[in-house]
Amino acid sequence: MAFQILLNGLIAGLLYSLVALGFSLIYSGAKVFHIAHGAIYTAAVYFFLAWIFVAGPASSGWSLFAALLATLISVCLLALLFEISVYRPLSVRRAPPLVTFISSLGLYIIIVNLIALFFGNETKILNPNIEPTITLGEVIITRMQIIQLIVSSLIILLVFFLLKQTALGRNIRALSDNPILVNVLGINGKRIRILVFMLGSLLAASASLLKAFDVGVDPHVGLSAVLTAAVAVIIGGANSHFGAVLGALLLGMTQNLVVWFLSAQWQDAMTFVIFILVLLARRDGLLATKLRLEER
Amino acid sequence: MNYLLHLIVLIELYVMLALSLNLMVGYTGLLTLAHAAFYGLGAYATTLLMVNWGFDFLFALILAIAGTVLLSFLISFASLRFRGDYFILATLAFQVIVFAVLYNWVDLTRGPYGIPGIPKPSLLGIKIDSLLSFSLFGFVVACLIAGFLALIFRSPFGRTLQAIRDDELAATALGKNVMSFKVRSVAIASGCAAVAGALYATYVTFIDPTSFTIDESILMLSMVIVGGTGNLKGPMVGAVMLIVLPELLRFLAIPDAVAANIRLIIYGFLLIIMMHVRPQGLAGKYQFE
Repeated sequence: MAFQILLNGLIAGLLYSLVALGFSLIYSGAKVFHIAHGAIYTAAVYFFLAWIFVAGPASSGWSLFAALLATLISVCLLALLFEISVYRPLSVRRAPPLVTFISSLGLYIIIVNLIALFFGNETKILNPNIEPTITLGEVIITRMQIIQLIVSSLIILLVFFLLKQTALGRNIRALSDNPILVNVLGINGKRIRILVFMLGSLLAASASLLKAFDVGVDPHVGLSAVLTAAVAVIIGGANSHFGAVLGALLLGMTQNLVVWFLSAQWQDAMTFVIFILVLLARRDGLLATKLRLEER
Repeated sequence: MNYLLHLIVLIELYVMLALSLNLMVGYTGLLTLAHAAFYGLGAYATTLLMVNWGFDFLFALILAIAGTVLLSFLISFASLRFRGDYFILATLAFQVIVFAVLYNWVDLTRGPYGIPGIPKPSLLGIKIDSLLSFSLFGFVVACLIAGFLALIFRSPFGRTLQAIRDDELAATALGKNVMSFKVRSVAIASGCAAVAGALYATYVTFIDPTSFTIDESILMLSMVIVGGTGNLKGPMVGAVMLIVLPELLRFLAIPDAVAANIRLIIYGFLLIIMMHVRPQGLAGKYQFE
């Protein structure tokens, strides 16, 4: 049984990692506490539902692929809209973090209720078939879980490669280090900010799509996802992307333990208990590097 | 007429909540998302004392306030060491944990089934059971709380809170114990929220955890932010506006299910517009920094 919990926890943790990594990119890159990340998370699945409706119900490989592509483009455009209409004006006039936070909360409320308005509040199932399972010794794994495991691991590796090895990644890291100096050095800071929002949103979208194929979606899944991601980022150490992944894995594992020993109702509460306990023990998170006071 | 009186009671409740929240948000600079948790704790404590143990309303109310204030020390201890985004997340943690306890501790709170049959309040032998008398009672309590908070805002204590909000380092340098002031500010705000909770419970005579979710916290915060922070009239304006505005939607013959979403969409837009155009709120004095 221990292995089963461990495996389920690992997969849940990897999906959280995607959201957390996106949140972390935006939080460190654009300095936005992006609650509306949860709106993107939810919207991605509903974009997909809408596009698959357009592409025709015959879920052949090509229409599925086209719908997926259209979804990812829609997500990028939504992120672009957020940045240009709300976040950039605030960033230009150096609005305090709390103002940005409240605006982001407003964005989240608008998008989620627009979704509920058009699609209804009930849970939508993307994949009505019962998933074939594979039994390995005492561990049972569904086909969807295998896909989740592989795809999310690959995406995480890809993001770290992008951040560490490419010019774009270097620019993103430069932006999170010092947003003013970036422009002085002739890098277009505005453009990098947009790319950061798009990349972060794509990560959230991939997590929510992978999850929705398994358990379906309702308009309110985003809040819990983004809060878990925010907790993961902060307990991991807010200036470390690797910390975000570590925090997410930790949360995924403990949540699955909680479900096994108590009940699913305690999941969210347990996330926040861990948040408080970790921060009481290590104020800057698990993997935080030492910062000067004015950098915090 | 009854509908109007009901609206008035709602406004009275939310004026209390918004004013007490303003003590934290507008005067101490602590943006919190845990106010509905204090509200819920007050409501549940009063209810349990009255229904399970047969306490008198006034006595139950006092004990509920005391209990909520005691619990506020716990949240202060856990969250006041953080600032900015971390503090918000810590208060959110408290909100989520309180909701989970109310929802899952079925033996005590009956969890999702809620507690029905809460007696109407009675004061000094007078039973407040009609809608009219309750709205008057609510008016008196709201005035008492507003007066109490007005006194606090003008007192040296209130001015110190504003000093801490504007420049914490300078306040420390002047020998103020910043932590102690913040803890007391949270305690007073939570006590006032508990009063509103007790009134809510005895007004609707049925409570369940869904009245005290994070959405409720967000609603209260929206009232303070839209109405205005840092003075007495701002939160009142916000509370009245955000209660009355959705009621106007009823007259546009929009179906109920849709109206709820449209209401929230309007709130969302209001939040963003206020943050861009008037960060101090419609009638407020203090801008976040």
